[in-house]
Amino acid sequence: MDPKQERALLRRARNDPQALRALYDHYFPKVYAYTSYRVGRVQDAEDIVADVFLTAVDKLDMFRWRGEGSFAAWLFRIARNRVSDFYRRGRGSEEGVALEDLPCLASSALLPADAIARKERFAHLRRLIDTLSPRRREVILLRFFGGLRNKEIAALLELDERTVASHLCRGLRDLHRQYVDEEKREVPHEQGV
Amino acid sequence: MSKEYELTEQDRMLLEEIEESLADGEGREEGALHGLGVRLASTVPRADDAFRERLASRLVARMQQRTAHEADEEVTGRRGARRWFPLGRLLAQIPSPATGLGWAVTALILCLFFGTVTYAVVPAVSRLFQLEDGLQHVEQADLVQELDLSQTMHGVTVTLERAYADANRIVVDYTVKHPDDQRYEASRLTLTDADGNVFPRTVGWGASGRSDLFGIELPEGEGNYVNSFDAASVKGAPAELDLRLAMELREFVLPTDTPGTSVGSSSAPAEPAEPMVVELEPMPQGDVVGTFAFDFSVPFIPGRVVEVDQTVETAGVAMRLERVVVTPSEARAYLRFDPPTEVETSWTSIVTLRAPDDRKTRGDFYAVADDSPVHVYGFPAPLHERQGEWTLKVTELVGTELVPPYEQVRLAGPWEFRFRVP
Repeated sequence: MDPKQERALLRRARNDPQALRALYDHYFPKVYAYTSYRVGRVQDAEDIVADVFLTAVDKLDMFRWRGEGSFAAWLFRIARNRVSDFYRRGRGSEEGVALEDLPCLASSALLPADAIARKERFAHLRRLIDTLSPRRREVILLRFFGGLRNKEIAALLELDERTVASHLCRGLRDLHRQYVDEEKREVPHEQGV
Repeated sequence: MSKEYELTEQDRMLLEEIEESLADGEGREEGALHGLGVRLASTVPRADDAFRERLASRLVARMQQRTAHEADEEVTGRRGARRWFPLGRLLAQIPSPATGLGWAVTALILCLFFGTVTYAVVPAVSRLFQLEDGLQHVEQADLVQELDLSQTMHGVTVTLERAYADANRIVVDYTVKHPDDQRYEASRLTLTDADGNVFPRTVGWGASGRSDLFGIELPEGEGNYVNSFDAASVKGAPAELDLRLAMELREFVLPTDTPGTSVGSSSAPAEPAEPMVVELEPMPQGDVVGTFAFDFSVPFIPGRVVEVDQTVETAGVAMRLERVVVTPSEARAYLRFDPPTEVETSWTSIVTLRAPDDRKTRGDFYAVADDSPVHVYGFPAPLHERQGEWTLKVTELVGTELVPPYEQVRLAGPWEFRFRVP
C-alpha cells in the first residue's frame, strides 16, 4: 500500500468504517497467514487474529506514524505479542495438529489441487520452519507469510535492515538444507514400502 | 553491523530471487533454493471468508461503539457534568477524570476483594454500611429506611435492602445473590427522582465472598454493595423522596492482562508506539444479566446550611469557603478556587475539618471537581450537633494536567478558615 494512502486511511480509520475496512482488507490476509503458521490450528489462528484487530481498533489512538512501514510493524507487534501470550499460557502445541484443523492454502499452481495434499504441504513446511532458530523463523514467516518488507521487519524486530536480509538468506538456506535432507531420508523409506 | 550479518554476493543474488519469486509467484526448478522461496510464497494460508466478514463487522461495530461513547462523553462534558473523585487524593493521581468514578469504584471493589487486613468477622450488611462514621451513626440512630425489595432475572436476585437520604447524600444498600460462582457488578447504576432528575454517584463500595478488609464473610454466591449519591440538588425540605434506583447488572470479569504494559517475551516489545504513554483502559465487561429497577420512598432529613463566605489568599491563590452543609451523616464544604495554569488542569486538595469536641481531625472522604471553580469536599461524620468554632484547613492544592504528559502541579498552603456553627 502506498504510504501516503496508508497514512490518510489511518487518519480516517478512527471513525470512518470505509477507511477501517480498506486497512483491514490489506492487512487481514497477512496477519492471518503469519498467525496460522505460528499457531497451526485454524480455530486458534482465528481467535488470535480477531484479538489482534480488535486491539488495533481500540488502540489506534496510540499509534504514531513514523514513516513507511510503521503501521505494519505496529500491527504485527500486536500479533507477535498475542502469539507469545498464546504459547505462554500453554494453549499452543508445537506439534501434532490434526490435518482437519489446519488452515486451507490460498492456492497455487505448484501445489496439488487436493485440499488434503495442500494441508499436508502446509504441515510439512511448518515443521521445517520450526526447526529454524527463533530469529530466522520469525524473519522467514514475516517475509513470506506476513508479506512484510525487510524494512518493516527491521522496524518490528528492532534490527538493522541488512541483518534482516542476512537472516532471510541464511534462514532460507537452513530451510533448504532441511528440505533436501528430508527428501534424502524419504527415498529409502519409499523403497522399503 | 557485525561481520556475522554481512551479505555476500550470493546472498544479494538470493535476495533478488526472493523478491522476484514473491512478486510473480512463478516457480522454477523444484528443489532449488529459489524454488523453495517460491514454494513458501505460494503456501499462504487463507482464511474462511465467513470469518473474515464476521470480523470486519465486529471491527466496524467496535469502532462505532467507541465513537458513540466518546460523543456521549463530550456532550456530558459540555453540559457541565461533575467529575467525581471519590477518596480524594488517591484518585487525584489518576489522569483519567472522564472515567474516574468507574475506576474508583472498580479499584475499591478490587481492594475489598483482595484486601489483606484482618478484622473480626461480623454480619456483612452492617459492616459494609458502617464503613464510615457518618453511616454508622445514622444506622445506630435508626434513621435508615428498611426496604427489602427484590427482583430476579435469569436466576440472579437483586435485593434493595435499605436506603437513607439527607440534604448531602442518598445512600442505598443492595445485595446480589446468584446460584453460580460468577460474580456480578452493576455497570450502570442510576438514581433518579419522580421528575427524572439524576443524582450523581459520589462513592461506592462492596464485597463478595470473604473480605478480610471489612472482616466479613458473605454466603457463597452473594455480594453486598453500598452506594452514595449526591443529594445537593434536592430543593427545599420534602418529608420524603420518591426515587428510582436502576442498575444494569453484568457478569464481573477480571482483566487477563494489563493493556499497554503486558506482553510477550523480551524479544517482543510493548505494543504502543509511545512507550512512555500509560493508558488506563476500561475493565473488560461481561454479559448483561438485565436491568433491575426499584421504585421506593425514603424519609428526607434537611441539613443545616452555614453561609461562611470567607476568602483566604495563600501562594497567590484566593480561596473562598462559601458554605458548609451539615447533616446527620456528613458535613460538606463548598470551596471556590481557580489557580491560574497554562493548560487545563483538574484540581483537588488536601482538606481537614475540625469541629468542637470532636476527637478526630476529619480528612475529606471524597471530593467533587466541577467544571465550575467550586469544589465540594465531603466529611462523612456525625457532626450535626457540634456547635461552636469549626476549622477547615486546606494544606495543599494538587492539580493534574488534563493533557499529556499529565504533569502534576502542587501548590502548598495552608488556606485556613475558622467559622461558627450555631
